[in-house]
Amino acid sequence: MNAEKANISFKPGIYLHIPFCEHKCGYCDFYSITNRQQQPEFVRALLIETEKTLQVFSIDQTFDTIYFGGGTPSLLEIEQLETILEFLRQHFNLAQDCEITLEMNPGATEREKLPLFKELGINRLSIGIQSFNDQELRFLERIHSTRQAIEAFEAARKAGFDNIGLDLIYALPNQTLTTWKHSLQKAVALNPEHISAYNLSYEPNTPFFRRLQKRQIMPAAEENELEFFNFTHQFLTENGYLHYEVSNFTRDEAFVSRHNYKYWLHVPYLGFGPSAHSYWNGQRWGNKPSLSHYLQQLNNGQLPQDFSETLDEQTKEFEHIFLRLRTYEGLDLAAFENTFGRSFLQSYRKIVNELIDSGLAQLTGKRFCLTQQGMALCDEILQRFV
Amino acid sequence: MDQKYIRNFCIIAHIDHGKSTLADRMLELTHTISQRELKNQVLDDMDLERERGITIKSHPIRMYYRAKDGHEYILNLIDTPGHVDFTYEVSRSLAAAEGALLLVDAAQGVEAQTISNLYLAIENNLTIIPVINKVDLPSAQVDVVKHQLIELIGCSEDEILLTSAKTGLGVEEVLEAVIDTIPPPKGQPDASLQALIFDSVFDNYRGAISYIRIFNGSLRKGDPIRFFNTGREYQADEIGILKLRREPVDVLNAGEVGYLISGAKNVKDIRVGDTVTHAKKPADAPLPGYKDIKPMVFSGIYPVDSDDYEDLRDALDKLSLNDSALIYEPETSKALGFGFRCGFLGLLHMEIVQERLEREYDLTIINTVPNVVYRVHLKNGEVVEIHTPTDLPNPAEIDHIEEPYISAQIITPSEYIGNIMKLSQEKRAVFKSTSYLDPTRADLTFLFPLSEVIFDFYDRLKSVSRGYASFDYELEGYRPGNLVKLDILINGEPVDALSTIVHQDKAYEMGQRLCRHLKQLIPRQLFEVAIQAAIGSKVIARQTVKPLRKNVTAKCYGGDITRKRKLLEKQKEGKKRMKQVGRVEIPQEAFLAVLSMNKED
Repeated sequence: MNAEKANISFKPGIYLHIPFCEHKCGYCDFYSITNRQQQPEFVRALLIETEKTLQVFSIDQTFDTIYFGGGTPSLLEIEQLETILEFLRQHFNLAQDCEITLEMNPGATEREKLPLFKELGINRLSIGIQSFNDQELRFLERIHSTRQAIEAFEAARKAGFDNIGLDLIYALPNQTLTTWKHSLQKAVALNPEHISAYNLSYEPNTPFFRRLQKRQIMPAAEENELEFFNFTHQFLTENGYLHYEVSNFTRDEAFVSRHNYKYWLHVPYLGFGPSAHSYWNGQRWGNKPSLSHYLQQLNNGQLPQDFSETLDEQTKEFEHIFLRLRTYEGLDLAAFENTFGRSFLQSYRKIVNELIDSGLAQLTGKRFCLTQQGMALCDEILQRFV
Repeated sequence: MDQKYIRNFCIIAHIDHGKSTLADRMLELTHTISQRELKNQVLDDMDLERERGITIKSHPIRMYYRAKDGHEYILNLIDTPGHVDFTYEVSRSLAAAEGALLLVDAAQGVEAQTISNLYLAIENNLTIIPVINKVDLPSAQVDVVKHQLIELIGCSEDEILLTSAKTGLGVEEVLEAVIDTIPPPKGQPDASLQALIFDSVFDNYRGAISYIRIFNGSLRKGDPIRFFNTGREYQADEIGILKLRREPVDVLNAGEVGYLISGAKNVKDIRVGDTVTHAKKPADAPLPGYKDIKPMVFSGIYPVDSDDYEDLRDALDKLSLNDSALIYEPETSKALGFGFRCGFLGLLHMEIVQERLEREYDLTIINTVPNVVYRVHLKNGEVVEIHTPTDLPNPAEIDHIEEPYISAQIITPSEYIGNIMKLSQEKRAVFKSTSYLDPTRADLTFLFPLSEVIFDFYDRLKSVSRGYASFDYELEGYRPGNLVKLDILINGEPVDALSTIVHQDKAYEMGQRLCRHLKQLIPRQLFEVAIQAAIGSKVIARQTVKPLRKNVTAKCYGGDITRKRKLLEKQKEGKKRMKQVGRVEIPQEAFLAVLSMNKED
């Protein structure tokens, strides 16, 4: 990746968690609810939380990303989105080229809102398409069809969006490389700026996880997962996409998800809304994943935090390593030494050598990064740096 | 008291045949102990003993009993340890007595251990009183057992006493028989002091305490004393008799049993079997039968967490204060780091030490596969004893190797003879003889290489005989064997802790099985793991643990980095109990792979 050209920055970012969905998909473990009665109350509370946070920390940095995640943020009324954005613009220094991303579902109602999203200054869309196979979409409990997905994408282009990402999921039970390839082909045909391709995971407390435990679902075998992972890499690379993080591809460095990349750069960010997480001044905290708790706390003048921790140097170092190594550009050796006052290669000589010797990692110029083979074993490798 | 009113005796019995219960009844009957004081099995001190229902330490006790002849007698019951590992201790306890009760369970009949201890008693010229216990059990076969006893010791039927130690039935008759049948001690009161040390214990406040039997002469408080075989001299700071607790006295006379506190700090300074004499007026010779006991089985003990090394050393120091048979020396293993090579009397002794380290000292340890002591004859004529396979000299320098053999006695219902023969053959045993205790119970003797017995023999014997066969052994001596060192290499590197010495004929099969088994025990990792078995430089077996291929979380949980980090830390924690050898992480179970191999099949 060409660092000069790449859409990455070390400025802080803002994340907003919008916890509403029309339907809660069985695999998803992000916090959301389907009862949308309290949506207006939530928006008011979100502003209160933001304001309170600003009071606690005197913040004057310039932020250059805003990310509406969820849940399904595209379910917000235009007025609600406008209120939030207006509030943020008033209370934060936002960079001129601030990346403002909205996650959306390819449903019909959202499609109509696209020109208005654009008008509000939203300049990046992340569309949860997940698959271009209707049978797979039903298995995933998605409420849209392949046709609707394509229509949504085309409508977004028509509305003037020139930075669109698609989310896809692979390694579904019984999925074959053929159907997966079909989805990838359809995705590439739309020529999106960004593709996130996630291996289906079974997270505790999701219906899929419980079905797995009851053996109602047979997960893909490790070998198959590997095959999907490598096939995705190969297919998208051949089609001009750059694999820049475990699950993320971009058509061009300029379209890296600037916001998400902050997580892997270990850059500070503030998160608002239930279940949102923040990293600021060497501290991490997270809000409780509960809308009622969220509203109640803020009504009582309290922040809705679930936990907070101050990272010691050792933890920071480990985080830095495991976050950086999830990216294909890897860890910048000079930056590491600057930050932690010791050489990465010397401090981790043994494991580093083992990884390089066995082709799981490599040194490229001033960086240490995992190879494609190593990336498939990322979690196993990262443990070694604890 | 005149020696003719003293009786020193012990009880020979198999585990669970009721020895401790009978002892408890005697203590009650002689008012040595009130019912209120009586916990079950008073004489067994350690929890572990009580749990396993076995006695490890003998604890002599003095009772006063007014017999039917109107005289009051001193009865010294010398308790004996009840396991094959402690044969020498048993023999010394027996040597302190003039007679023994041969106690047999009416339902179980005579067992191997009973017989081997009986032989020890006969060797020590003890008068034997046969007793059948648990005669009130519905499953009691009193006639069958009577017949076995008659065959075994050639007694007449009416000499056999019948008891139920549980109900107290027949216990008084036993005490009367002790007085009538067992001869009183016949020591010379005026001769120079000769006292046998038949056991020793460690007391936190008093140091090492010896249990002694005065054979000749007398011992007075304050006497200067000498231990014959070690040559060490001390002073008799305190002497006394043993009831439930120690009771100091001024003098112990010929024929008496008591204790001696002499200023010796460590039980290792007091050798069981040694003779105590007067330092100024020493006896001409020690009592016969002293042996330097040597450990038979060795195993490495390593802390799982290398930070616990010092704690492990402290724990071994403390354990050995009370266990003169336990020896240990520091050892370094390439695979396991710093630890100790420990010597044990046998497998049970080893297990007891391991369990006490974990239970009483809260240590998590890895113990390596136990091995016997080999005698290696070098081409230059030198003979070296090796305690660990890694110490085996270069094959080019070796003329031949000798290994210890045991003489084993197996008593079994006759229908299992075939199975036992087969098992014995597999274990390289040499068959010696068969005799029959009664038409259905056979008494088989074999010579076994000890090394074959320490690998899962006992469990297999129990399984091929449905639990009915009993087994006992004593060391026979060394015999040459066609032995080789079998090394295990992980990714080309020999793992010292996994080396074993095996018979040449079995090496190939053993190597194959060990590799297969290790493959099950070593989890897949980042790299391919090659497991090889080799003799010298020749690889005889190989298995491969395929590397992990994919393990990556697709999402980083939004901005919830904490969750991701904790997951990684938790996964790492799960691997902490593994030992890293080269770049391979090996779980603890793998170091005992040889022992668990049979469970795999």
